[in-house]
Amino acid sequence: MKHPEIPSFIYRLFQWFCKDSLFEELEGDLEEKFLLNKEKYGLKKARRIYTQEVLKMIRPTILKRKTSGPSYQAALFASYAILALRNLRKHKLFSFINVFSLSIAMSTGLIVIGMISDLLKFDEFQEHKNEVYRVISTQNRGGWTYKQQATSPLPMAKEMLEQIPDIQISQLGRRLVGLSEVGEKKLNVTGIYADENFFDFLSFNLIRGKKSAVLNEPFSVVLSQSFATKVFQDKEPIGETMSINGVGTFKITGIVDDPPKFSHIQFEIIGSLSTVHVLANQGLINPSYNSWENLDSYYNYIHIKENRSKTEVLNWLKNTASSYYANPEEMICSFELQAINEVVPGKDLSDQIGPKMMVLPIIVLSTIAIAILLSAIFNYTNLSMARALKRAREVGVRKLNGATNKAVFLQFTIEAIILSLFSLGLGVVLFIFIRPGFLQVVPRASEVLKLELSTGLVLWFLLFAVVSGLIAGIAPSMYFARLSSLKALRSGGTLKTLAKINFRKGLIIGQFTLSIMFILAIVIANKQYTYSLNYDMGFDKENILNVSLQGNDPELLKTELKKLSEVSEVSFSSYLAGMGNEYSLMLLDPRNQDSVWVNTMSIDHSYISNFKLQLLAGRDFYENENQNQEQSIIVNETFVKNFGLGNPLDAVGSTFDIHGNSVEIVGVVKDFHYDNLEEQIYSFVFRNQASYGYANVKISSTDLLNSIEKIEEVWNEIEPRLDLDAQFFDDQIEDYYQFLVDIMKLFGFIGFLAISISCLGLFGMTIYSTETRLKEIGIRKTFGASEKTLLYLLTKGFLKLVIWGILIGTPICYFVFDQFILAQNFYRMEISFVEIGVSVVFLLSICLLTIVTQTWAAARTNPSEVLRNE
Amino acid sequence: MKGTHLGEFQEIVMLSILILDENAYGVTIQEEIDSRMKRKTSRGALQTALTRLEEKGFITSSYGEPTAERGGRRKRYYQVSNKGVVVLKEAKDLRQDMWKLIPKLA
Repeated sequence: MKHPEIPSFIYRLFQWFCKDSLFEELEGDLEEKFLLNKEKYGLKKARRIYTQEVLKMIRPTILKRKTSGPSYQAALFASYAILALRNLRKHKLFSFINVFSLSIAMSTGLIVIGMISDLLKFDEFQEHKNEVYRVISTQNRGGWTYKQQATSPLPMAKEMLEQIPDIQISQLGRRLVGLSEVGEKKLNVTGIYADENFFDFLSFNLIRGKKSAVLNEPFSVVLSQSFATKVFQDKEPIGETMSINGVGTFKITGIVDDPPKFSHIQFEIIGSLSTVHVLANQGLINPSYNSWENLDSYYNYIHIKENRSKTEVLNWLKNTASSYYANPEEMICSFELQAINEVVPGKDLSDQIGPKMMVLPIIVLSTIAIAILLSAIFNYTNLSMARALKRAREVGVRKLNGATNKAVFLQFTIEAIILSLFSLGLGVVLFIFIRPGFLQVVPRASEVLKLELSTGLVLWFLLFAVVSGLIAGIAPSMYFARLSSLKALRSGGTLKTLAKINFRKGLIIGQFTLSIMFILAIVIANKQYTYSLNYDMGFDKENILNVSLQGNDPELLKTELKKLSEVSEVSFSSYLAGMGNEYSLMLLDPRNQDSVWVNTMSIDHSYISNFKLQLLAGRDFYENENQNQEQSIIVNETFVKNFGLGNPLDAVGSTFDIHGNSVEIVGVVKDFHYDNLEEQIYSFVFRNQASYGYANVKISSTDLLNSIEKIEEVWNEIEPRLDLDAQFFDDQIEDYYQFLVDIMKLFGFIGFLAISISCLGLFGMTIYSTETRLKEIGIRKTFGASEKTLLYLLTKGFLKLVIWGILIGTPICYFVFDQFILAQNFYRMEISFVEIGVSVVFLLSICLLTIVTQTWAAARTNPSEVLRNE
Repeated sequence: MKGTHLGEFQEIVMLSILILDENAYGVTIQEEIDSRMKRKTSRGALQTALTRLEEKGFITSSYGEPTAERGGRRKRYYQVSNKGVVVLKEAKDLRQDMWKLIPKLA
């Protein structure tokens, strides 16, 4: 008897395929092993091993041999295959429509399969992938919960190592970036910080240097193989020094293999984490970096050995960690563990260390791919049943000669699978063509995907094709299998070919529901894009060139730039408005001692006039205000309203505390969009503080290109080592909303596929049904029906289905966009009848064209020709 | 050649059976190989080797008594036949001769 804990399906499968003479011995062995494994690894893993072992039993020495002549079965299959090929060749139109629509549908399916298989490979190379976790954290400050972060506080590692036995922790830091200099060579470099435990349990292969030593000392750096080759070519890198602008000079202590493409930790160089401590002492990094209150920039990776459970660590994080927050009212964090191979694809976290890919887009893409595939499958089902009349005789004769229902079923199923395999061939070719475009269009796809055709992937493709064929073939196969031979052989007309007409109508309606949804999606995305670009952001961005300061002295740059005749004004800001950035500041209202979070930006005295922001009351910042001793702020209308300061004029003069420093409102500006259009305008404060990231250069000349050249000359004099990084504000905004264009491209392409498939199906259906009605048309014509009425008669039925599709699809699409997609933007367009009308007319005209080309020819046939045979 | 040829894995299986002596059946052979070779073999792969070896007459097998731990199923014990021992020795000698012929042995 079977042990109760062994998966019974697998057991029965094994019993089914294993030779009886071997079963007793082999099952006994597997069961004994199962019990051993259960002791050792626990039930779950033991069951998994059992399943794997059984699957590996599928080999000729163990498989049962069929006793009833295998040659007979093979011959039967071969004959079905030949028949299928003959039928496909004979009905060229049918085969063409199906192979074509199935293959384009498959190409998208293949992309999704390729994508999923790539994403599943992420971090699988990690030797301890089942034992390594990352601490992820959620912080709550003063009742405000932040987005979950991939980072966690640095001090946690020391405490945890002391209190929990048998774990290892490696701490990482992000963003070791800057311009690197080795001798004369200068290169921009991106890397990470890591502590000396990095190589202990993370599977990155150190080629040169000692694992335990390379990241010990501050200012040690390990180079990746490709970066080392880029900089040193054949020279010996170990022992050399490399300086990174704004960080310091590092000693090269080792070389590591490049991180695999499918790793969520990516780097060109790894600096020792102890460097950060020195940097903090030098004042280059905020000293709070090493506190429980700091959740930014650092990562804790924990290796929990196999024999220990992670609950211990989880409990510690839950119970002990919170005790380190002295004032939970003000700030408290909660922590979770994230398995290393669940990072990509995984949760949507902020502060990721490497490329990220969320689960949602994959689900969306898969759904779309499945929808399109279903559409193509509907075509097959529909067309197969529509031409039932033609093949009913064949089935009748076959059955009279003794074919069983099962045999007929098998024949039609094999036919569908063969057709599907043909489509796969064409689909793979299409896949290879689409691949580069897909990687380009889908945001970040090229960061995480390769979509290489590996043997494993090809096997998945084959399985995919066979399953698609099975699904496509099941309805027609069942229909033909059930057909009684008597009915099938009785002369033509009485056969109820249209018996399943409602089913088929339903399929067509489904296809057009999809089509209208895609068209609407494209039209709406297009509208939202133009809407976002032309939206009045509340500031004047015309002819403003944003120059990234890259750490240079703003005043020097300003004096030099202002010497140019093309430059009319230069202002500074800490970041760029209107592009999805917002910075927060805790403000204390001295009247009621309430601390409130507001959004903020640091600017200089020229900013407001430069961007033509409208001052509703008060004044601008003064030019010579002391920026070290902050005294004044300028706020927006919403601020005045939210703090209940009355009208803007009254608000001027109110005081607030920033970090214990009293500041006075000197001016109120009209609301403008400092963040993107997704976010509502909130209380906002301009600070007069010299922490600038960008210079906003207003250009008065009409010759923009020439002006940029001149600005570049000025830049090169001030900072010869770095390239000028400047872009026009208009272009930047356009770039920012580029993702909408990408979505349109993607949907446009997919929508095009969906529509072509549906129309091909419609085309085929029209041909078959008009063909069967030719005689009817002939008779009607002899009785005096005009071509127009015949056209109407033939077209009406199909058009009705399309209209049904539109009636169902439009509200669904409207609802989805209105409630979910556009709802993410606080400032958004409304979907109007224009968008819907355009989409509907577009689809209707395509369909009409498809139908009428066929029905028109039928309506014009000469009745004498079709009726001659009677 | 076919009939007397001994594959690398088959050789290891036979050696394991000899090591295990009286206690050589599926599970123990598999574990012996796994622990010694530090690789994971499947019972299925092992079965193929055992079948081939038995076909060639290098090993023989007999059923033991049913035991409760295996749900009442009998174990099948394997022994290396004399013919098998000879083939193993031949393989070993052949290798040793070749080793001796290497001019510079590091």
